[in-house]
Amino acid sequence: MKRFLSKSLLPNAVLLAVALIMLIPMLQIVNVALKSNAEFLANPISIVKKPQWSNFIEAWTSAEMSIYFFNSFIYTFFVAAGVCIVATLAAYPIARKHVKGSNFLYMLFLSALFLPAGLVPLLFIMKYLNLMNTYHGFILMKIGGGLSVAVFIFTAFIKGIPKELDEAAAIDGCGYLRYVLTILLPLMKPAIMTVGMLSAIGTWNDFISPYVFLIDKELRPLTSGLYMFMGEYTVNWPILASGILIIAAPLLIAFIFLQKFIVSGITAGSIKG
Amino acid sequence: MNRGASNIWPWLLLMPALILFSLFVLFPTIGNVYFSLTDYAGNIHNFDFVGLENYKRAFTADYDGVWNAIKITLIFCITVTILQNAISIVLAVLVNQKLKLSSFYRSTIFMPNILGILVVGLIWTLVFDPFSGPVSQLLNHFKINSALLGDSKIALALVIFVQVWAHMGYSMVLYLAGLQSIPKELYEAAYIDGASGWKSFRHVTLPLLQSMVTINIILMIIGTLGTFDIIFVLTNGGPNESTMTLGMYIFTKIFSGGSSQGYASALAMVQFVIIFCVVFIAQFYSRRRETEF
Amino acid sequence: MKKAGFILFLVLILVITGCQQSSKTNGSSKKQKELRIINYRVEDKAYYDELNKKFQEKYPDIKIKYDSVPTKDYQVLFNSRTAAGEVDLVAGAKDYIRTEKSRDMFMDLTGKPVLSKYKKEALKLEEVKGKNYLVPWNNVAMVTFYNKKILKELNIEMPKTWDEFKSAAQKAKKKGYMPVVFGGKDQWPIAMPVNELEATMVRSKDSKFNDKLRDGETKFTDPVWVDMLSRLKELGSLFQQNSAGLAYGQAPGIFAQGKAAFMVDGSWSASQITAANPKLDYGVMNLPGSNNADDNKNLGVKSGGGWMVTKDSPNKDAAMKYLDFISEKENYEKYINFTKSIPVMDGVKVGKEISMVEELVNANNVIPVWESTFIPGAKYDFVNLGMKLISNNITPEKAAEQMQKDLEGSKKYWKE
Repeated sequence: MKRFLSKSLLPNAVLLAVALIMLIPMLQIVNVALKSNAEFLANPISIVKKPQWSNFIEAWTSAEMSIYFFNSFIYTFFVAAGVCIVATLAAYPIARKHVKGSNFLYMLFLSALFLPAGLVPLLFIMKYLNLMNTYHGFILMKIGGGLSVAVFIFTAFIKGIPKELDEAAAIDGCGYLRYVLTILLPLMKPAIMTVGMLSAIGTWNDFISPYVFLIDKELRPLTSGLYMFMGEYTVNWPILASGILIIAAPLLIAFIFLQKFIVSGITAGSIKG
Repeated sequence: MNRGASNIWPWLLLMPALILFSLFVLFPTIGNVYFSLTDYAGNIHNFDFVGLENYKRAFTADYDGVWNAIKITLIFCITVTILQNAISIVLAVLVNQKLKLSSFYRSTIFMPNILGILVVGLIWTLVFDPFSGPVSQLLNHFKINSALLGDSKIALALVIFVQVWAHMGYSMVLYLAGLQSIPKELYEAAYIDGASGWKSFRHVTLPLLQSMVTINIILMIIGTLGTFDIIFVLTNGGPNESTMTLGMYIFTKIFSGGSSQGYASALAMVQFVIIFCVVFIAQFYSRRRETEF
Repeated sequence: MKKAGFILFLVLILVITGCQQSSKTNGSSKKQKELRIINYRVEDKAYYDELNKKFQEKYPDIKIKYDSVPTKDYQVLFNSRTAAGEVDLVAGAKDYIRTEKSRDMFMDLTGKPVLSKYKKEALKLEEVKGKNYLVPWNNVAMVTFYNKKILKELNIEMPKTWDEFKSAAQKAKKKGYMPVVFGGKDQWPIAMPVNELEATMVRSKDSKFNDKLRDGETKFTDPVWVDMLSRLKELGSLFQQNSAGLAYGQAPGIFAQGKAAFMVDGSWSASQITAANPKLDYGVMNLPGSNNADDNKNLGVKSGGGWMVTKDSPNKDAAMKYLDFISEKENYEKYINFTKSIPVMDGVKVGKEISMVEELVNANNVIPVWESTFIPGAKYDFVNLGMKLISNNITPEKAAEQMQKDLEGSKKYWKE
């Protein structure tokens, strides 16, 4: 096992090749972001001659990103946290079949992943509950929409956690909820981090639903400003690319930190165990 | 197993999820089913119930188009699911090792998911540009001339490649989460038994990862059977409808002047039934192979 | 245990407080009138930002909420806002009011004073069943761009017939230029060549051809249409190599660099060409589909879109004030020069690119673009068939048969 790990030449070579296949095309986006629109139109692929750093400033100002940044953080944090908590609570009884019809519930959540979205009916529900155009309304709706995938993943994950733990906890007289929160939750850290991250990305990068459910501009997240570079017949790619890079930066940083955190957390845990 | 069965707590825990889910997903969908039986075309105050007319249309007047779309969707789905799974599981095992650069590898492989589909579309449109793009120039060296995304023989293959390129990071991250929760002791035990490398992967990793394999396969099936955004940015369904998946077909129906959104809703229901059947079968087979503790 | 209760409680509280909060905001907003506008022309945002500011200075009691999303997502926004009754002024086009049920959402503007400011022909283009629902923005024309420098170098005049056009393109090819640049990767751009050829080859012979399709008096399998499809195929052979793989957005850039002699496109691309290379010496012309120069005087023009007022808008007054405001000559002139489109108001001063297109429009016989004569609800699969045709995957006869079969097969879905 140890030797298998330390022989890192082959894995490194494979991964480096894959990383290059990923990275080289993606550098194109940086290349595009630095071009003037004229240069992009004339020659989209060539390497940029005079980097236009001002593109980033233009994207920032004309998409009014400073207004929206705060909103994006609020939505992303609460939706990701909400999805993880609500889905963990729901996944445990389903995975352990503690309720009647848990198989049905499981299929119900699963099928929600591909149920055709009923936008107009959803709109009426939002309106009827007075959730339109509010922070919490948007957050609750996004949690509802992100739940099914989270429940699906968590259920599978909990099934992989030995049942003996449950029984040990039961002997201890550990409360049902306390068990989920204090014993199960830490064990599920890798899954929770992953799902949290995926739903954070989904919320952060959501383009259209803010326009539908948030009528006041002041409530909208970051992405909504980006739309203005995508014209009817033409797209201003350099500015759009700059805008997308600005928006992606916090996510990328978060990803790098989070996934380091997942790994170290688990190794520490397994040494203890 | 019995613990909690008589208890009210499991239901209490399920409540928040059930409430949010019903309100924001289930009820709206039921509304969508209703729309599929109407000629709703944007005016919520004026539309009529037309019964199964929209469904009839999908299987009579538009049968050729719908059937062609279903065929392409299935090819797309099967190929992507197999390729993406195989590649991402290998990548997950590789980046799970203690490599100096593993954090860098993970981030780069995952990055397309952060940048979003719009960027993926731009990148590959430029790379596959038959006029001055690098791929076309490379092929010219070998005296091969191709319209790439405009060539109906290879467009679907290229779209599949881009789909896998863009989404394998997502599956890799899920596999990684699965790998993280396999106790290290199991590998050590296997090592003592003389299993290392491929053998330990085959006999320790894979069986324990089975639940994650199920998740990934099902998520991929769902994602690919419903796919349209990547097609929209790359080929818009062409050339010669060679990449016209069902999702893309529905999307074009929402937009073509005369056809109603009621019709698009009906097509979406057809799509739902197809996905449901495929997922149900996949779920049935892969569940049998899962190891439960 | 307490925690679960707490979370449930929290969810409930969130919902309840939500109700109260938003009802509060609704109450307070009634003092100030609102004008909610949605638009799909996102690239015009800078113009509207300025205009809206000016409007609010003039009418401080009206608060404007302006939203624009790209065409791809506009249908979603349109459906949701109109369903929720959260919009007063809607950007649209004739496509949005083709059927009776869809017209029913909007106010009939026929005879309103604001429309008298616009050209009669422009209003005619947007008319449905003799009524006007749209305050027009501008017009766009289906045109072919040509590179003056290349034509001069080859010593040829601007082609007036198909044979002249073809030989000019072939000469350009021999000199190493792209004869006709075309970006077909996104499929829909085939609409431009089809529209342009139809205008000069079908309706030049029978101006009522498209209306007669309804009762079968004319058919797509008629010789004029099959000829038109054969010409489309011929035109396709003049496109640059691998044209089916080039993105639509890249074609104007290639043309602007002087690499191609012709580009079959829409008038809106003039601004892209200028943006990519302000020095390029180019002109616009009618694509000559016919060998009879007189037939080639037909030029397809369509409305670029317009504003519609929702029927149950509580802010109709504000909406009409806004429409009057944008129709003021000074504001309209700014709009036309910002969007670089053809004005539909008399006496508007325009820049170089627009006047070039305007001259072409004035010198030709303006007819509605083919696509805007479609029978609502009928199936026209011309994008797919057209692309198949230029890639030699179908014969003109077979394509025409398919067009006719689709049209007849969809008869029960035709709407008015």
